[in-house]
Amino acid sequence: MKRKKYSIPSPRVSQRCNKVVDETENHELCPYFANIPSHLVVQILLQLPIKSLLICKCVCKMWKALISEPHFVKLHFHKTPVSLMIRTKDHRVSRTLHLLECEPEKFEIGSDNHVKLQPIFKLPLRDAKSLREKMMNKPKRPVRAVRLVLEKNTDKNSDGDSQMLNIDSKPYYDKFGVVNSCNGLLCLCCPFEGNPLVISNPVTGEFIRLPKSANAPSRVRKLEPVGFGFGFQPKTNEYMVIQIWNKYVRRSYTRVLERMIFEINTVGTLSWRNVEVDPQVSNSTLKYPTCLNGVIHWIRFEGQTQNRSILCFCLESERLQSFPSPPHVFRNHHTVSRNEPISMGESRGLLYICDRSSFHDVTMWVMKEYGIGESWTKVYNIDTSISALGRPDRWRCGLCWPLKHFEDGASLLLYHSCKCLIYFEPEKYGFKVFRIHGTDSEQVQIIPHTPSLVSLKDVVKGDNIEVLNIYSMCANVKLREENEVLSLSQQLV
Amino acid sequence: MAEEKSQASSSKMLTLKASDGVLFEVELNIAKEMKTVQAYIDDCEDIETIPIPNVLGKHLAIVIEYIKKTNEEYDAEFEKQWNMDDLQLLLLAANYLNISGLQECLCKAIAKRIENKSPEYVRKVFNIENDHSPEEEAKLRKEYKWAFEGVDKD
Repeated sequence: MKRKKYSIPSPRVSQRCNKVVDETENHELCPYFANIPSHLVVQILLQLPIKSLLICKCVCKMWKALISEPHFVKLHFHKTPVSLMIRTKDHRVSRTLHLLECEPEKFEIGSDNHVKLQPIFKLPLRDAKSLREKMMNKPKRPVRAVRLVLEKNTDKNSDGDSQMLNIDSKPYYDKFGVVNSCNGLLCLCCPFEGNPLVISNPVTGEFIRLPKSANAPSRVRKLEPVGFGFGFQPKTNEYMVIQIWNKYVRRSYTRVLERMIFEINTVGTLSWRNVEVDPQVSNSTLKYPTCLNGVIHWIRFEGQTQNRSILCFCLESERLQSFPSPPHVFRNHHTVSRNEPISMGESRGLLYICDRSSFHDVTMWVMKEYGIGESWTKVYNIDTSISALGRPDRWRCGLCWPLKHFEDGASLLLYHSCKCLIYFEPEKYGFKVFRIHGTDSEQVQIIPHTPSLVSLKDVVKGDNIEVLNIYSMCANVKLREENEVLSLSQQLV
Repeated sequence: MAEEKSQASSSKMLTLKASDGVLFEVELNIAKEMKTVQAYIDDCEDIETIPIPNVLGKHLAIVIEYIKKTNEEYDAEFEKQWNMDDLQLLLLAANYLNISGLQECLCKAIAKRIENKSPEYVRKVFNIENDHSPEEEAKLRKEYKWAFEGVDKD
């Protein structure tokens, strides 16, 4: 059909012919040009990765406000790919976390390429206060636990006023363990007992120290840990931390349980509050805290019977109760192993359980409808008798994290200890083995953690607790281990 | 040639008039993808020429072409040919005409082009003035030090 006046030109043609005309027209349209409305700016910003968003905070005040806005942060978090943080183990403070975003491209790299695990984030040091004191005193007194090495500042980009200090810090004092991750915030704990000490957002570098509880263990008061957890209550928009201890007293030559201590701290407040719950739980250990829908879930390992089940605590109603578990998974009592072969977590709003208790298989279960026991679905059953490494191999320390939404033909990342990751894509190519390079640590630890821009300043709401920033404080403290750059490469079998 | 009024409404033609006077004849079902135009038609059924005062002819041409061929492949190629100015004007056009698919596509394309670029570059692209004080900016750069490492050269 013949067009009336102007046939639609092909794009290239129009650009060539009308170039001069366009430029003047663009100048005339300058007002539009300068002012993309903020709702469109938001749509553009939502497509950017976190690194670019933080750079964009510097563009102008309005952009900083848009990016810091809690609703934007929440929307952006939902678009961030499922990620894992990797850190080295082995007698180190292990304060650096290397991010692995689990996007398919990362695993299509082939055997000749290396993918750098970036960006790198830092955790605070557990005993930073005494470290700083030691740093201040360094010219005068020899220091017991810390050796300091001063290096000339050759780096042009640093603050200029101070020197980079290479510090040999001792993990005994400074290492943090991790309780769990929730909404991009990490709950850090004492690596020995497991009690929560700090909440941090590694992306923004912010962290806060949790208040000390009156019931905390001390040199005189020995408590036995039962379980810990960190979660988010969507109805009140608050983050809560839980600690559960058993207090024993000596009677004759044995010890008797005096009481169980169950306490909650609302992050941002100064005290821990006691909650009355069924003390039955005191005979168990609670592991793999996972927060979903305002409820913290654990796998409960009962002391005497070795029974396993799922226990949950609703942050709103403050009730502790059992939660439906996948059929048969917890019935296998025989494996009383130290490496609990069952783990639990949450991915994209669904609870999952990874069962490695069978000699031959690794099984992944997903609860497709929250709270409905029948909806536990076996998503994968991976036969591990012939492993990806081409020979029959028991999967050591095999932990399992789902990477994609299960309906998308999901893939799993299995960690086969000793710095080896096994990527399992059932639809495409089965197994691929990846090795982590760049560190002389024998082992790595993997923490499921999807980064977000949630600001602790919004969480804390008020002046009670000080929000500290790791980059402002420890900008010139660098541990030797921080020189390592980790990368991933595929290992052909 | 006069517009044909055929029996089937899908082949009814409509004329769209861009801000610089350029006219485009499009089928009704194509025009309806632009929700703004749809609203116009709903209001006055007999309209034959619809003015699009905020959009230049060259951009309207691109928008119409996009609507005609919406498949995944085309999207990927689509963005590469346009410069930043055009992308922004197209975004404004897609926003005004209320075509959500095109809007999302353009936002992704613009985001790709500013990803990992310095704040100076981004300001230049969007013609934004820096209203941070030097202290504020220095503080942000220090707090988010890791984000500023490895930024692409402008």
